Amino acid sequence: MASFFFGLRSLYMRQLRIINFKDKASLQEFGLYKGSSINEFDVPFHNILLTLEKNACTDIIVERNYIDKEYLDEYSFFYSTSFKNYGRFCTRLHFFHGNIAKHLGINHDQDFIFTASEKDSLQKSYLGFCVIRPTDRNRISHTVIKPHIDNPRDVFIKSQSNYLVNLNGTCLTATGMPFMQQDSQAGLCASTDLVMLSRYMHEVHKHRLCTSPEVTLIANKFLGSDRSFPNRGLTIYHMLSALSEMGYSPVVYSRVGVPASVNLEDIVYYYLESALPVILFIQARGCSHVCLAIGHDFKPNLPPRITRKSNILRNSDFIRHFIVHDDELGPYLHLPLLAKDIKTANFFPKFDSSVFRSSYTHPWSFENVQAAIVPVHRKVYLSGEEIESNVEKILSPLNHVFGLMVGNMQPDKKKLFEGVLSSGKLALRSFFLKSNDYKKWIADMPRVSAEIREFYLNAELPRFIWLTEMSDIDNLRKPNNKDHLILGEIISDSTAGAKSQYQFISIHLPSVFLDRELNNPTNPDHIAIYSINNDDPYQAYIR
Amino acid sequence: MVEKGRGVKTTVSKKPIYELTDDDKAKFCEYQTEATRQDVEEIQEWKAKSLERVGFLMIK
Repeated sequence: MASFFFGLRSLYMRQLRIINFKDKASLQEFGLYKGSSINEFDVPFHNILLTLEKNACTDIIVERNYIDKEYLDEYSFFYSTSFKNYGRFCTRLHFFHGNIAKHLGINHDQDFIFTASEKDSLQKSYLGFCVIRPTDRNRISHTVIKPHIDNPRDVFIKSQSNYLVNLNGTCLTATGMPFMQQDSQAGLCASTDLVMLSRYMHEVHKHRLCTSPEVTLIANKFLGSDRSFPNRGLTIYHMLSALSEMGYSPVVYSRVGVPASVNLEDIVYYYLESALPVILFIQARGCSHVCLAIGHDFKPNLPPRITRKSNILRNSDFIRHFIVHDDELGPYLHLPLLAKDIKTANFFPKFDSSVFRSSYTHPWSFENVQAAIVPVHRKVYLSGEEIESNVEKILSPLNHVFGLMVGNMQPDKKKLFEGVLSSGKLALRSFFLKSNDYKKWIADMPRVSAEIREFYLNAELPRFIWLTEMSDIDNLRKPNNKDHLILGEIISDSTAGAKSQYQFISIHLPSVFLDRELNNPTNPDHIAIYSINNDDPYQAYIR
Repeated sequence: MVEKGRGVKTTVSKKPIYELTDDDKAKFCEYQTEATRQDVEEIQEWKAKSLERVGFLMIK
């Protein structure tokens, strides 16, 4: 009888092992870092380790026989049909800083049964996880690791969330943007990017969660294609088809034929600020590839990137890099806007790992981006470029309503606002968000005028609003993000038409507020201007 | 007492300093439509052709 229970114990109790982060040789057991130099298939894992190294990672807990939903689907659709016997189970690596081996009283390279009741201290040290497939190469499956940010005022990862992790009964939270490497059989880069996107959008907006094989199947549902497995790639039409099936209204922006009033960089920026990842289609050196933009840097002390026709700046004039997940290269890479800022000379097939290590930038630039695909929510009809074109005209001295508002400003505020506008220091930041999130932000914002707060908290708004913040660029140059104050904002209806005259819902300029009641039953489209007391600049919206 | 209904605020206590007349709204509408017309048309035409331009490119 006793031997029966011992058998159960060995069968069902999953032992963990803790290894030293610096002991790279231990990772060869999982098919990583084999050979004397890093091969191209290990580059994503190499970059994951670089990020972890910068986050002071000290220990890795190895969780064997992990069932990964992504790989299980890949196995079901492809690997189980191969003659070669591939395993069904993966290995999950959990990364920690702060020498938790010592904390738990365990030696490195020792198996142990997890009984930790010290969840809080483990959580504080937790840097995320990485699932390793049991395949021949391209082994990195579902991964969430904490990004490394040298200076929080310079780099903004806009698409990240918290992911619950159950480590033998202890619940931990990994924070970051999901990353994955294409396995090159069941999924290539197009489907892999859609999987990363779906994992994030499922967590944040409860959209459909898809694996690579599912993406391939829904992409081919209505559009003909050659065989799905092994996967031979998708066209942009296929990607749009998959995104529509996943519940989005995707929009494609091509670099060719961009109107003079629009910048492709600005468009990517609007949606990144709206916490939507943007798919970037890169074409260079005979290669067609996609990566996922998830953030950007912000350097307000540099001169504006471009000169605009109007004297109104955009916050996007001060970015120099997008932060991207590239399934072939790794997470949180810096994609320079200009080719001259590329620091890594080589792409495939060989990497100079020492250059890569020191630069940490993407080997291509935004100049190689031929199109951007934005997975917009179905209830957001107006686009960022339409909003900014509209807002720019609202802020024109030729506009009758703007003239009425400026004419009713309190003298000191008028002097301040006109000074910022005439000196070319007014900067706009447009993004959309849920109106309820904005109300929560305003309710908790101590610096906002009580009268403005009363207006916003009681306003009836559509589910999503476009918010255009107006700031003095000098304010954005202050070192602390909490000192990035705005002078006012314009709220627009995300469900209005591009040519509609009913786009804006409210305009707030220093000491004046214009309120529009589109659906007032007794007086439709009632518009009134109010004078606002104690209306000082307040903090820009932070997600 | 303001009538309750969609789009009507029931608790804002401030009195407006100016209410836009139909003439004000017409001026605004005319200016805004004219000022944004070219941008909007160019943007819509560009977006309509974007998919045509890149739709069939294969990504690997």
